[in-house]
Amino acid sequence: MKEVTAAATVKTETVVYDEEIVKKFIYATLFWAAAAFLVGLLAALQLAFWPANMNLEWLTFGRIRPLHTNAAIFAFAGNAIFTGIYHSTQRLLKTRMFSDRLSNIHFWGWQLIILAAAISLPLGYSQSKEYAELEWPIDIAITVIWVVFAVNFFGTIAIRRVKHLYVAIWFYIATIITVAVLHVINSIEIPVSWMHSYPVYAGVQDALVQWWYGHNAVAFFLTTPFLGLMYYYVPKAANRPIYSYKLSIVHFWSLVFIYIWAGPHHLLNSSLPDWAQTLGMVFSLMLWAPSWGGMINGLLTLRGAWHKVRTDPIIKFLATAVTFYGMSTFEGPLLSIKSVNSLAHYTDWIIAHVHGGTLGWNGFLTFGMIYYLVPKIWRTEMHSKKLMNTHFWIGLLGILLYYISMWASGITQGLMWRAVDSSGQLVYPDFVETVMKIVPLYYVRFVGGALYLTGFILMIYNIWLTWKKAPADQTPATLNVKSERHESAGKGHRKLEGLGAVFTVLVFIAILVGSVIEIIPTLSIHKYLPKDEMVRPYSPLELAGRDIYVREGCYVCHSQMIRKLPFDVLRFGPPSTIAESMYDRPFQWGSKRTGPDLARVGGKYPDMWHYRHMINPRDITPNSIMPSYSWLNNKKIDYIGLRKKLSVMKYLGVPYDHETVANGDMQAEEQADGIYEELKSQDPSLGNIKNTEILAIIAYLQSLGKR
Amino acid sequence: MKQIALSYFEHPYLILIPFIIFFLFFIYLLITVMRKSNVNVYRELADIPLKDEEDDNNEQPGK
Repeated sequence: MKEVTAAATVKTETVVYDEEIVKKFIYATLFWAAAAFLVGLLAALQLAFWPANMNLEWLTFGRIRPLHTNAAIFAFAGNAIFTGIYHSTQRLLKTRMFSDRLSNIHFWGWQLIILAAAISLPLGYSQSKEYAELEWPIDIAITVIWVVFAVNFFGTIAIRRVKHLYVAIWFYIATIITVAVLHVINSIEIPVSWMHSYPVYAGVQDALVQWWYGHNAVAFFLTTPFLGLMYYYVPKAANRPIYSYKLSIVHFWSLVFIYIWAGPHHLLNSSLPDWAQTLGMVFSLMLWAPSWGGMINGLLTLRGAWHKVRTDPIIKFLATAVTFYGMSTFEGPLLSIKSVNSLAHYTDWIIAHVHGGTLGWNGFLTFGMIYYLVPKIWRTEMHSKKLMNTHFWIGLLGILLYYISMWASGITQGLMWRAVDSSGQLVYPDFVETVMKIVPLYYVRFVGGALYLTGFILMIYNIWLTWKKAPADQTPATLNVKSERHESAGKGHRKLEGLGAVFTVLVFIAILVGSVIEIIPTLSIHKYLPKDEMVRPYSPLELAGRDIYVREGCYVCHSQMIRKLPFDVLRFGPPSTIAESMYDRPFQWGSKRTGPDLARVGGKYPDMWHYRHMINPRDITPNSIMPSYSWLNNKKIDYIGLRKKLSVMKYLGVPYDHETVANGDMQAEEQADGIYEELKSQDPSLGNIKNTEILAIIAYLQSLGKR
Repeated sequence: MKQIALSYFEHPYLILIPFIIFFLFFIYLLITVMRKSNVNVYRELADIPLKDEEDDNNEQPGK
């Protein structure tokens, strides 16, 4: 055995842990969890019962859905991660956090960012890139606060009183480094105004960078930090050592290296080059092994303590969370197989998959961790074990209802989309038919969500009563520790486990390899397009309409990517090409089809059809669940801002001529007048809709597939 | 088909280089962690979460 304890000069010091910061993050986790769950419930109701959109622009599904995802990921899961990291890091490194001031700046800065998101997203300030919707000032704030967190964390590593970095710390390092890289690269954008910007990437580039980010946001925000928490809190709660430290080493490096490559599986069968799709699929399949390595390590930590799953509600939550991790990471690679993906993509199967991970893995692990921490930090016992158990069973029932209903919905819709009769015609050519079939399942999903929220309310009640009985004396925890910093510790990887800086650099290299190889070739892709395949840029009015489309979050229900699949082509037209979205900043390929694909909707219907459809979709499609967009009838087009938008687009490489940039506002007004006159000639009873946003969005929709 | 699939990427074999690097690193990891001499070390390290609140002065751990 290598010597790990010999030290020349060892002194004993008393560590006083900063528990106030842990308490603050617990409060924030609970508060934002309630917000995320409530908004999610509203969104679920809106899909089942469209009047729940309330005809208010701030509360339509297109604006609420990004609010829900951001709240769930960054507010609920984010604060949960910080809770666990601030608590476990101090103990694992046997030191107080590097700086109390930085801890507090991190806490308050993060909450302000969430508040800014909660205000700006319903107001329609959105970049429409999933989980990266927030506009550029908030992006900068996220970067600054993340750097504060990183300085505080790595500062703590620098002043640690133990040589060895436990495996949980490795996962925290990977999280901090990778999230920084992902956020900065995906958020490179040129501001047009104080709350609007265009990304530097366009079309297929934007799609690849976004899903490299989107997939790895799941990997490095919802997986690696939670694995770190698992490696700390499961042994703690079970009072058992982790099953295999060896496995944790192999698990860590394999996961970090492989995960970063898997992003393109979100773009299978699309116009993304096949080599990138294949790469994404193969690496997704490879992820099976490290993911299950982690799950097995987590579950087998309970060896010899399985009886606690029956008796201890904390273990119930943790063991179920790890099980859901295993299920999600089995389902993820399965969904990445091209043929399976052709059935599942754009359907609710993906929603089921995501919620199995967030509600089961992230949610239950967080609940287990908080139930473990509250009595320890407030120096008391949980008020009621019975309520904890009730929370567990209600929550689990809620997840199962959610999961199963969305599986059924996704597979039903996927099969209906591809059903072709003996003459080669679609069996369900009317898209709304496939929607009506799954609406009952949306009600089941709503009940599942309501149950999950009910369980959470019980948790709040239980914790509230626990706080009430906590002793008045809340002296922070202390520990006498010997400094062991100057020891030598092993060779090879054992040595690496004690070298924080080298370890961090290696993690950085590991995540950079896949990123560079996938992204760099795609950045030059438009150069290879034949001249005759190129499309014209959007007219100024179409561009204005496109920005409204982005603002209203139309992409959350409508894709603009006809896949190279026979049934997609039969339903929507020829497959989308790279050229067709080459000026799309941001890209609007979407990831879900609650409504039909719009890539070739241009010219399919007259302007009046679009007008009536936007004002009240049920006038055109009786069973439609789309919200009404009546306010587009009153809001005026922002002609003044158009010149700036066009000049930014030109700066980014869109071939607008000088005349268009200089007189974009006048050109847009002229085109809008043309649409207005045509509508008015067909229906003289129309009110004064001259220069209103509905004209711009009609111009945009009519341009899709027609440029 | 192959030509179409690779038409936007001139050097697909470059992908193999990082993959080989990872594979070699993976093999190195396996050999390292499976060494018999490391068995006791890793057993001790697996206990870290259970011992991180143990007081080095053998006093009662902080509350």
